Amino acid sequence: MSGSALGIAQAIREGSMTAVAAANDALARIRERDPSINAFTLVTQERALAEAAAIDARRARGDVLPPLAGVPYAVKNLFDIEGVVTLAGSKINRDRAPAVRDATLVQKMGEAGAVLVGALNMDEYAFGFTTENTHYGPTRNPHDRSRIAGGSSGGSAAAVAAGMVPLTLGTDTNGSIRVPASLNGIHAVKPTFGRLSRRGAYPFVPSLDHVGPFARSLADLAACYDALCGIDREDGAQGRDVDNRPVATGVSAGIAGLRIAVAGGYFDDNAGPDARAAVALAAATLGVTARVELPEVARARAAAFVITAVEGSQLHLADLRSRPDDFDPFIRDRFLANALAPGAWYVQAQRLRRWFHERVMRVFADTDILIAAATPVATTPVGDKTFELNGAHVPSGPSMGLLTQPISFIGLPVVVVPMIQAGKLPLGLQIIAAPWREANAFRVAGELERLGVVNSPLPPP
Amino acid sequence: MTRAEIESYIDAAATALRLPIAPEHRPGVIANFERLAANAATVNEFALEPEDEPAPVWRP
Repeated sequence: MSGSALGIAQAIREGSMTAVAAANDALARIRERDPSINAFTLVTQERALAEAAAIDARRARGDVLPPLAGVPYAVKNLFDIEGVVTLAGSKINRDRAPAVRDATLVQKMGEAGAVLVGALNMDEYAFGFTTENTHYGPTRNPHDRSRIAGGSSGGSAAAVAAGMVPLTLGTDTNGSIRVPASLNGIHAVKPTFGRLSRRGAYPFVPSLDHVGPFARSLADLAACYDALCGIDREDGAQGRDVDNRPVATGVSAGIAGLRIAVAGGYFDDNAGPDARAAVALAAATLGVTARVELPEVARARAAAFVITAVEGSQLHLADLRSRPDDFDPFIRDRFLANALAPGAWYVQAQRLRRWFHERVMRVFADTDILIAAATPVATTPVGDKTFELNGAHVPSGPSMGLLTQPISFIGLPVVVVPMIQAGKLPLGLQIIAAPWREANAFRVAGELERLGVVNSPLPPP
Repeated sequence: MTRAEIESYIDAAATALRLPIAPEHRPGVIANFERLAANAATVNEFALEPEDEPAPVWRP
C-alpha cells in the first residue's frame, strides 16, 4: 500500500505506524517496482533508516513532530546529498568529490521530518524533456512502460506516479517539472523564479532554473511546497522580501474573486486534441469563458531556447574541450553547437525577455490566472524521435516543452494538475499565476479537484 | 545563414573558443547550429527599444 504524505505523517504522529516501517515500506516498493521503471539511480537505505529511527525516537520522547515527519521522499540526482557524488544525470560528474552537505531543499525536507530514500534519474545535465539517458537508461512511464516519463525530472515524476514515494523534488528550466508531471498524471509546482532556494542544486541555465516538488495529491503538494519555502542567504538568485505565507490552507478557499482566462493563440495552436480537451474541461468546470492571447509567444520560446543554449553550454565548455565523448550522445552535439553562439544573440534574447515580461504583466493587470495544457500530447514511445501534432510531425524532445517554455522564460509560477483522462494516457493542465501568486494557482487547483475533474490514479503494478 | 556560412562560422568560432569539433561530431554540430540559428533569427528580427534592457541587474 502506498499512502499519501500527509496520511503517513498523521499515522506516525498518532502512533499507528512507525517511521521505520514507512521507510521500509517505501524501500520495498522501490525494490519491487523500480526495475521496470528505472526512476532511481541511488537508494539511500542507510540514511533513510537512520532518519526514520530519529523520528521514532523523537515521538517516543513526546516531541511535537514536524509536518512531514517520517514521510519518504527522493530527489532528482542533481541535488546535493551529503556524502554522495552529484551526478546531474552524467558520467562526467562521477569524477567529482561527494557533496559535503545537503542542498538547501534537502535540508528543509529534513527539517520538516521527511526521510530521504534516494536519488532519481534525469536527462544529462537537465538538457532534455524525455529522460532517455544513455548512461543510466530511460525512465519509463508507470502508466505504460513502453513510453517515456518525460524530462528532465523523469525519475522524480515516475517515482511518485508509481507510488514508490509520495513526494519528490525536481527542477524546471523550460518545462522539466511540468512536462513529466503532465506525462505521468501527477501534481507539481514550478514556483515563481527565485521563490525556492537553488543552493546545492547543480545548475543548467542560471537565468532560468527553478526547483520544485511533485506529489500525487494537491494537499501533499501544498504541504511540501510550504515546507520548502524560506529565504536562503546563500542563494543570490532568490527573491528578497518575499511573502512566504503558507498556501496549504488556501487550497480549499474557492475561486471567488479570481479572474481566470484560457490562454489561446499559440497555446491552443500547439496543443493536440487531448490537450485542448483537457483545457476545455477545466474551463467549463470553472465557468471560464474569457480567452487571452499573449503576444509574440513563439518568439519568447525562441529566446528561451537561445538563453538555454548559451548558458547551458558555457558551463560545460572545459569538458566539451577535453572529453566530449563522455557526454550523452543525445546531448553532446547540442552543447557543442550551442557553445559557439555569438554574444549578440544572447543579449538580444535577454532583452526580449524583459519586453515579453512587460507585455504579459499588462495581461495580468486584468487576469489572475491563465490556464493552458502542460504538454501538447500525452506520453510517447521510448526511442521515438517525432510525434504528430495537429497534422505535422514535430521533433519529440524539444516539442514536449512547447507549452511550458514561454512561461518559465519569464518565471511565472505554475501548478500542474492531472486532468481526468478516462481510458487515455495522462495529461496535465498548467494553472499559471502572476509572479509570487502561487497561492492563487493552488486555489484554482483546489477548486478543480473539488469539482471532480482532477485525477491521479495509481497505475496497475 | 547558408550551410556554407554555418560551416565556416563553426570552424572560426571553434578556433576562437579553442573548442575542437571532432569529424564524427561535425554533422550533429552543424545540424544543431542550424536549429540554434533559426531560433536566434526569430529573436534577432524583433525590433527592441533601448529601454528594453536585459533582465539581470548586478547587485554588488
